[in-house]
Amino acid sequence: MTRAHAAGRQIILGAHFPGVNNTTVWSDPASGSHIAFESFRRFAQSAERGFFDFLFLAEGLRLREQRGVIHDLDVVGRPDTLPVLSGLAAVTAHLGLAGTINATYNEPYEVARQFATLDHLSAGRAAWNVVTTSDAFTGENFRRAGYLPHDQRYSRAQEFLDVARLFWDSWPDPRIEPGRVSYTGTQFDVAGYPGVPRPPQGHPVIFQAGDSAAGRDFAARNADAVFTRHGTPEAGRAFYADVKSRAQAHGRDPENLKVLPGVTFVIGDTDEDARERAAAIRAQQVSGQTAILLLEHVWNRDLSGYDPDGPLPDIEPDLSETTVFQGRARQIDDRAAEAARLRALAREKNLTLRQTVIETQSRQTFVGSPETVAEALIDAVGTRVCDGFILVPHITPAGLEPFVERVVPLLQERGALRTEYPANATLRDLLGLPYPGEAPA
Amino acid sequence: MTFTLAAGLGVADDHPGAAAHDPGRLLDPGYWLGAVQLAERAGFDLVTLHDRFGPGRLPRLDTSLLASWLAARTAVIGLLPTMTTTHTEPFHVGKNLATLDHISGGRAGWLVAVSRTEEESRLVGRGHPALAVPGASTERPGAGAERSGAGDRETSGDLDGELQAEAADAIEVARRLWDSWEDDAEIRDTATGRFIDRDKVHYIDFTGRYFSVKGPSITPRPPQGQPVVVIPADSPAALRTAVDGADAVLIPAPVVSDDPAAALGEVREAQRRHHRRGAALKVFADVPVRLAGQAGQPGTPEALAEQVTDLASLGYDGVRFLLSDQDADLPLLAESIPGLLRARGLRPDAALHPGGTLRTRLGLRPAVNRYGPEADGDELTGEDSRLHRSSPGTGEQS
Repeated sequence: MTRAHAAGRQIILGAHFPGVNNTTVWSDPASGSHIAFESFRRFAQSAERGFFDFLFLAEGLRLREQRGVIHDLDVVGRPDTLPVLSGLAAVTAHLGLAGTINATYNEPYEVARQFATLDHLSAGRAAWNVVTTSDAFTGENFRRAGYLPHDQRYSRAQEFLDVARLFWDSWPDPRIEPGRVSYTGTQFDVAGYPGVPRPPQGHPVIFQAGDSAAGRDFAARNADAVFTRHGTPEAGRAFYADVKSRAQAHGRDPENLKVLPGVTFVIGDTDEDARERAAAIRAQQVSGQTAILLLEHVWNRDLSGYDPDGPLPDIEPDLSETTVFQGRARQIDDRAAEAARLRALAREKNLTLRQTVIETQSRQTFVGSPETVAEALIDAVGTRVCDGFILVPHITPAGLEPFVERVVPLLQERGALRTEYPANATLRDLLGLPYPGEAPA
Repeated sequence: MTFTLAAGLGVADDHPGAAAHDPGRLLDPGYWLGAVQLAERAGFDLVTLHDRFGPGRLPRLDTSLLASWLAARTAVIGLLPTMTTTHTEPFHVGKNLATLDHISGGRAGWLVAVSRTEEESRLVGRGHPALAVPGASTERPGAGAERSGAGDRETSGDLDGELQAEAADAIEVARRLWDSWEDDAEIRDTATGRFIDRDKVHYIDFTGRYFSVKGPSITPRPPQGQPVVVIPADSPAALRTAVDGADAVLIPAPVVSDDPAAALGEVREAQRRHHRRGAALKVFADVPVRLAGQAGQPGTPEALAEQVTDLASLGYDGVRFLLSDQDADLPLLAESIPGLLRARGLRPDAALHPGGTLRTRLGLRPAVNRYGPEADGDELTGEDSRLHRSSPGTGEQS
């Protein structure tokens, strides 16, 4: 029943080129460069062979630090998002190209111009994941030296996007004169003509990734897709229902806001084989040192004196605002509760410090044989956990290939994934999204 | 000797050239690829891609992104997009160019521009950051702190002087960011679990009059170490910025046609007066091309080759052909000029062209990392300046 119901729903697939995180097992002999363009080309071309909808790049504008020094255990360093996507536009033909660009440390005229350019270079395949940052740590790399009060983050994002849209809309045809943009708000006071005519998609596809109420509202009002962390069925369904109803409250067709969790996967010959692989990968992802550093996010203390193979720290977390880590997007809201949860789990399962972190921090979302994984994906989309997935492989650049070779054909057999790209499709076309200015379907 | 041939593309901002009849094709990267491949096959060393921050009459793609697209489809030619320093973030500019260098395998350069117009300023809405300085100096980042920026040089307080001092600071920041990762910073040491050696990744701690940047870059060091920085010397302040931070300077066409020897002398004198660090500036002459004859009096390829030969014998290191009607003139230029210059002994056979990076093609030395073990304190390009510091501006061009 579920399956028959699911057959009607197409799965949206995104491929996240993994970067600065502890998901990537850089010590694996198969792990290649995270910088060389060849890695990006290979990753993108794998995604295109698997009929994915888009490739996704994250961004962090300052190297992460912990205990006041640059974090050195994970993959560090990445090329600039928009130039990489522009290069990929030249070596792919169908794949959407989604990039994270910060609305705090940029100005709307330039970002509008850059995304319009990317959309022209790719014949309509550009997407922008709009993020904001409020920390002064990152601001130290920028002119505006950056402190943006937390409560202004989304008002800046909103005005930023509003201004960008004015620039995208104001020169509909290169054969006629452009129209003049004029905007005065609390964040921006700009006027003038765009240099790039209207992008092929009208506007690039807009992504949003924040999880707060303000973030969800921003997505409901503005975004075409939400990148969420809620990949489990229960949390996913609740999130899905929440943002879709928020979209409706803004007068939008909820089908035009796609919910896409970032997920990890391990594929084996059998479910048992996959489970064994998954456990081995988790052990590689979380070394003793990484376990200590991840636990410091909960305790907010220097835990370097603790033995990773011993018990969890007996001291209580430091609940102050000042943190021992900087430059990370994810922060834990209630450190005391999280510490209590970890302790209970460690007691119940008799786990060491490192085992506890492995158990809680890096469990893969989909683990199994190709058939098991394909069924799970179809089921999740069919039961409205999400509209699709953004896959985060643990090996760069080849980590997508097992999925493309073994799971994609099964999704196609079951009618859940396209078997060819439609001719001349933009990313909006692939995702089934309306064009700006179109009447709702 | 290395004599450089460059083609200036997209210069027809408001020129009623052929592109004006079908402006939509300027948005097609295939159009630009055709032009760049023509130049590449003819053996040109580099193309510059003209851009301005504000609008022109013709549509214009962001050339830094266009260059990255072109990098993935070309093999040997240098790619120099225009990037302004006035309304942009030096941190973004630095990693953008580093990434172009990664994508192109070491063929990136930067045509530095400033945004002088009120129109451009209004598009960003912050006012001219440089002009805001004198009245608001106590509120600028780094006020009261020790300054390390070239922006501390004396400016006459005029717009161009301030914008060029800011440009010099932006170049300095980009250069430090490019060096902020040593080449061997990524170690992947499984024994200690470390991906990088953090002692080989450096804060740049730049504090200047217009901005401060902490660093390090988020992008590891580009293949060339230092992508090639080129500045049009279209004002005395711009020449000063070139002396402070560029690898090469472009002499504007009217100056070249007026008195090319005097212009060359001025560049050399400026390097002496301002104590140019490192290798001497390469000096390229801008030479307008009108071969097809749509506008005004067309020239002949032979006359153009004569002019270039004269410039070379004066001591110029290269020329940039400005193609205000590139659709008509680039094919004519590409088929005639390389052979004519070869016949005059100015260019080697295409087969003998040095491969490798743009720096190599231009005869620039490999860039030594200022933060690395071989650094000798020269902060411009990290080159071994001990050989050259005694006589800046001379002795380099052999």
